[in-house]
Amino acid sequence: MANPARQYVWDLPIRLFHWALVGLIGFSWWSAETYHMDWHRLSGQALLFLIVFRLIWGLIGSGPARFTQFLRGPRAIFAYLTGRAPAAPGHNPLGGWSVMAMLLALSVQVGTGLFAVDIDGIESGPLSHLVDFDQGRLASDIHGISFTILQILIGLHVLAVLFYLLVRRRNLIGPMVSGRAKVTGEPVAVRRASPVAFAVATLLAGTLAWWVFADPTL
Amino acid sequence: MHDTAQMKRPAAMLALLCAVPLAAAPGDIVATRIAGFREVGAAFKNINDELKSATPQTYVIQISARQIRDYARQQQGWFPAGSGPKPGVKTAAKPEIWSQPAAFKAAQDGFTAQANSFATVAASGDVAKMRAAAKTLGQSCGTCHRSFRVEEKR
Repeated sequence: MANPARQYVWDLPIRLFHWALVGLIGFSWWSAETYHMDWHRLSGQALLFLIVFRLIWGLIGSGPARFTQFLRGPRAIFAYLTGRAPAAPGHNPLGGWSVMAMLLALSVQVGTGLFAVDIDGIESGPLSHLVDFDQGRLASDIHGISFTILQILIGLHVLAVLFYLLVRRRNLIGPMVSGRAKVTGEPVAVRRASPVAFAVATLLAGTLAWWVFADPTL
Repeated sequence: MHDTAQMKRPAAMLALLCAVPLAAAPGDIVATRIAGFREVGAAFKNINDELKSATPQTYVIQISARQIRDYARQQQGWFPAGSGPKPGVKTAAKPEIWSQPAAFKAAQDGFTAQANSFATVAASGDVAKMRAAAKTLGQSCGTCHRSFRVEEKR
């Protein structure tokens, strides 16, 4: 590998999404533990924007960002695990489902947070006025459980990345920063996302995140 | 209850008579205060929901404020000796309630005072004042809970 070829994998929105997620999940955790609930709500609003953006980006983003590209059936997973699958840029067939699991857990996390009410009826999510106290408490309980699940999934994700780095000698962190990955064979053409798609996804996600957290009387 | 033997006979009999309901009481009083504080939380949610709206229904706030005021009076009697944490009793009440009775009484009185004052402010119909008073009332919850309640995950 004298001069390893590099090829485009992750578009800029995906990379920003990933690292913003890392920061905001950490910040949300800290702000909840220290009862900075105004900051916790703001962080939740930013996360709602990111999740909605990512779900739309999974439909209209660049090739490796799309669900249709990285969500594969059991045959593809088996072929990958037994080393018979050709290397493709982006999530591998198993990692794709891990991404979906994290996105789902995060959606439950943010979704329950919108309706959650604390035990004293003081702090609450932006949509909590739509539910009664007991339903809000239930949302809060699920909010706690789903965070544990999220922590486990993130732990597995980090372990898998370390496994690739240390055992398989393949750095997955670098491409998530630079957008480009080393390839051994010929580079594969990757479908780029259009600026219009980016504008649509940003606008939709931004509007929803603003609207959900806006004053209930608006 | 253990020192009845040291008392005179009539006093011991009286103590025994009292001990029967007392022996049954802790579980009941724990259930009473759990249910009571749940009502306080639900009432306070109603208040905060209205206050965060641009068109608060003041009658909802007033009813809820009176509920909280009434529970704030009752909670003075919700922590008799012997109703603290022990095996078989599920309670978030910390032992400090009984080991620091003066501090706990001060916190209880703080809640009662704020609940009374909030009910008065609510009755006045001034929403801006209600918003400020609700914050103070919430702080009186937090003051007591930080010291005397086992913290729940939020």
